[in-house]
Amino acid sequence: MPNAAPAPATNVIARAEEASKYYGRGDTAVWALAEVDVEIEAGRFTAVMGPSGSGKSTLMHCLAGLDTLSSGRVLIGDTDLSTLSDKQLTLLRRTRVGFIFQAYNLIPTLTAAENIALPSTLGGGTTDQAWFDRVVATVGLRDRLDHRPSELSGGQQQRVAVARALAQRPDIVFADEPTGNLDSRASAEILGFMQAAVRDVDQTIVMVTHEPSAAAYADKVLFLADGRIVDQMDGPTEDTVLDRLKSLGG
Amino acid sequence: MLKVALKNLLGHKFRTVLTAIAIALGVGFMAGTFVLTDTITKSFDELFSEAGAGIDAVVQGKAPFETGGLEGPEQRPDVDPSLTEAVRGVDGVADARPTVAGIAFVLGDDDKPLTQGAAPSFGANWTGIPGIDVFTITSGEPPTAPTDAVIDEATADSADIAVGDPIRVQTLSGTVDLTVSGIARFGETGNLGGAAFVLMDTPAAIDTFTTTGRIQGIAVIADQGVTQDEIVSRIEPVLPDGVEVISGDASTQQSQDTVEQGIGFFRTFLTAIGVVSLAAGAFLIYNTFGIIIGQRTRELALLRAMGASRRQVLTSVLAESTVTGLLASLLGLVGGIALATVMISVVAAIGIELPSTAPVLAVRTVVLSLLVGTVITVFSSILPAVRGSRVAPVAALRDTAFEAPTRSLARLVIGVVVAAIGVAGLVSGMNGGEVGVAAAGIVGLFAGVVILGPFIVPGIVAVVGAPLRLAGIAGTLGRDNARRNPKRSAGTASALMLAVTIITFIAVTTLSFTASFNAATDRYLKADLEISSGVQHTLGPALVDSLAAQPEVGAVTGVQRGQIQINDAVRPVYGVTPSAVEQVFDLQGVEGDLAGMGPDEIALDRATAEIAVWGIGKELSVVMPDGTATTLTVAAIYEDGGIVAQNSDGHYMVSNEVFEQYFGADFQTLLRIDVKGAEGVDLEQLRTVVEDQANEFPAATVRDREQIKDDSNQQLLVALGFLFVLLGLALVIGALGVTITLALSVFERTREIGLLRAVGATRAQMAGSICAESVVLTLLGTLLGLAIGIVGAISVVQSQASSIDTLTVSIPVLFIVGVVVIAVGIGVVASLVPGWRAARMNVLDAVTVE
Repeated sequence: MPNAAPAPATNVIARAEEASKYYGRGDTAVWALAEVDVEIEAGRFTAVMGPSGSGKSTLMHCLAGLDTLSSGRVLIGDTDLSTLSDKQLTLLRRTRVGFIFQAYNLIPTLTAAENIALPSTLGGGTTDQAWFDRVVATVGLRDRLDHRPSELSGGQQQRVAVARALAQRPDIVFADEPTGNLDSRASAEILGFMQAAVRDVDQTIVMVTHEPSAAAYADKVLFLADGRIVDQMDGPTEDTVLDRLKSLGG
Repeated sequence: MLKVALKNLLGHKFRTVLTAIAIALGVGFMAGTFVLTDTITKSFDELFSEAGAGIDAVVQGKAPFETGGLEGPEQRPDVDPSLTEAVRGVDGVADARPTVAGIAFVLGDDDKPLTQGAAPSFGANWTGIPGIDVFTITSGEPPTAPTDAVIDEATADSADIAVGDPIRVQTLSGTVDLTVSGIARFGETGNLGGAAFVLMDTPAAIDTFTTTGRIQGIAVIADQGVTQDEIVSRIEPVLPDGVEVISGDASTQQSQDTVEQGIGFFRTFLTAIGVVSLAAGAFLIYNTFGIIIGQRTRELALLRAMGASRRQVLTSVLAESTVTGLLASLLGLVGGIALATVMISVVAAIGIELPSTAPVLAVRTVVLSLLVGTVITVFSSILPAVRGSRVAPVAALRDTAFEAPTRSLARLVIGVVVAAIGVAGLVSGMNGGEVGVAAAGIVGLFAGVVILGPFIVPGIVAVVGAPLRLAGIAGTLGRDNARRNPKRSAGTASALMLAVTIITFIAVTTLSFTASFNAATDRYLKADLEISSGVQHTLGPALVDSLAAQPEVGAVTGVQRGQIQINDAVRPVYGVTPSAVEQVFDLQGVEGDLAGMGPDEIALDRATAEIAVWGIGKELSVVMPDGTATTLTVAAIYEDGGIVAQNSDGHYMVSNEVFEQYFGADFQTLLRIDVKGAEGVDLEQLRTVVEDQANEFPAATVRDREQIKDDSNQQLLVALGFLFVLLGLALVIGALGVTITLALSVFERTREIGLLRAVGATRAQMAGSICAESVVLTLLGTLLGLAIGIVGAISVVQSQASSIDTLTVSIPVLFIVGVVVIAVGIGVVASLVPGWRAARMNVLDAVTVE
């Protein structure tokens, strides 16, 4: 069965082609992803939704180069991730990909500023100070820069994580349930920052979430079920997303 | 709950194995020591029982006072050979024969002794009476002519000597030419621990091997039906004073005891090293269990929430450590037996061949090994276990499951007090206080630093880790991680600190004492050349006389060492040539007439004289080794005889005639001979003459002052090298501790490592940060150990400086640099496995772990 065709895209920054991921062999194989074709458009905020076990996290991990496919391929820009060595993948993650995880996003021994600069420090490079300041200002962390993660609230920690993901000006930022551990107010803040980054500086963001309220911040929502993309929606609102999920039986 | 404990062990194999190895190393070393020494003892026991089986009684000189111990064999006086006839005439005696024992080295073609190394080489007599002769001739004939000799198989084999060949043999009187009439072995089967021997017909043996014509004992065979006790009681009445008779069994026992005593020192020394390893292992276990309990807080809390009592939690942790301890001890025991087996062949390779090489596993070895290993493991885990049992059930619900680095005020106070007591002891030592106080100071300071560890670690890590910033983010992360949990870092460093403290202390003190010896040689040795006897005392008094007769020799004295009883105390006494001693040694001033000291006079050092309040002319009642009670008059008091005696406690000097008159054959040997050239004779001229004379004693070496110092430096290096190899064990355990801590930390920081990898840290950077952390931890232990070791050594050396004026502290810079370099190396090696694990960690698994 063919996947739903992606919307015509002017500028694709990342895509998966016949991407499959399965565990085991033959009849007993469990398919996490089944020949998924998907294109991520540059400068847009894409949400990936689906019931648990639908393969949404696996898709994101594979797109981000954290996980490998069983068959098919993933490209970021023109780079085929399946052809990269661990070292090249690491370099790609450091320079072209940003990450925001659900929790434990920060290194406890480093200050907020050091955490934000971590990817560039790992590369031994220098930070673009003007951009760094702008990112810090955007997420409102100026007076918290010298604090260590243990001295920050959960929402503040997640803001540091957003700042870190943006600081490298990566081609694409992947966020895995970034608001999963936050209360609604902090969630709204974080989602607002992400939305602003897309709007103001054309940052590309892919976010996996199970919360319709979070998906509503995105420009576009991909719906997954049983390892396949079963639907997509542009300009989602909380209600339309909720309705669609219901119809998917999620 | 036992099930929970076992599952824990199986679930963390890497950790369990490393912890077990740490204890197994110490236990193995100890078990190996016991097996080795038991094997040696047993094989000698069998040998002596077998060889002495035919002898019913032994007549021998009676030691008038207790000696032995570290001073060597019992000082037994010799016996007059004519006594043999009297003993033989006793009713019930079937036969009685003299026994002779002296030194005898068979020389090779190059005129050097064939037997070198640790095994002795002795000369004895062949009686021809089966049962009395403890040797069995395997080829050739017994010695009959005065120049006939029977030698042992090993010596004969080593130089291809056959029956009928001529040999040169060095004895106490010089070199003699003999002819091999036969080849023999000790007992019927064995060799005496690799000892070489030369057997001669009894009268020839007395002539050749003794300088006094006296014999060392009489072996007796009783008539059929006369028991050993009976024959002993019948012989007793015919013996003069100073001679005793013991049963054959008792004599065998005496030989066995002498060996056991020697082995006992060896065993104590090795056991001490095993104890150091076990102590390092205890630190490691304490720390490891502490970390594990911290990591398992949540799990333990869950158990408590589900209704497990405190006692059950405590029991489960203790059960885990008991099983670990038992497994480790078993492993150590097996390893120890293997080690002993290897050691037996090593011992054989250096010349002490054992008659039987089957390792002896005594019940005591098994019980002690299992007990010590298990008890130490359990004991070290008690505190962490108690802490674990105090986990509140509510902790299961908390987010942070990791050990919070708390540092109590009580700890700070206790630590400061203990360290202060230690420092006070050390300061007292530095100001010339008691050496015991200084030593206690080291222990106090060490304990204080261990207790204060969590408080001082962050500061030290900041300093030590400062250069790591240059290594980029990996270095910075490693340093930060090392000070993240000061308690853990301090605990990890303690095991290494223990090893380094001991090694440093020993290195600095021995180096200082060697430097002091060398300084004394420069300052107080006026002799141009010294003939040294080496390990086996092989120099006979004859050489002193022949040297004195040379016109090129200005002054010469031998140095003999023995013990006499002075006013009821057994004291070391040195035999010298009184007329020469002041020309050869600088005694820093002499009161009285030392040069003219006669055989009924004695000289002593100033300190001893002052303590005893004795002056010139004081008559001292002494008992000589042959039992003679006599009086010696104080003829001279010298300021400092360290150059003669090389020990700091009080000592005495007597004329060599005293030794000749009152000491047994064993004590006629000279430790060394010191020679000063006559006016106008240069060193090389003198050397030619001295070496020419010393040809009669090929086992000896002729050295000038520089060579003496070189040799002492050489000996120092060998001794330190040997000791460090043994103490390396504790170092290995320290390194294991670092590895375990890092492995646990890597496990604990799985999320963090995953995150770092996700945002772009390469595998090399990951491994690098673990390596940096490891190096910081090892340097932490090493630097603290170096500091305590050096300060301790300074204190102990200073406390001795008042009695040894050439003693100053020498701090070996090269050694310190070497230790630091080794520490960095250990740090790198210790980080390999944890670093590899961190680098290889699956990024996705790591970031998605719950």
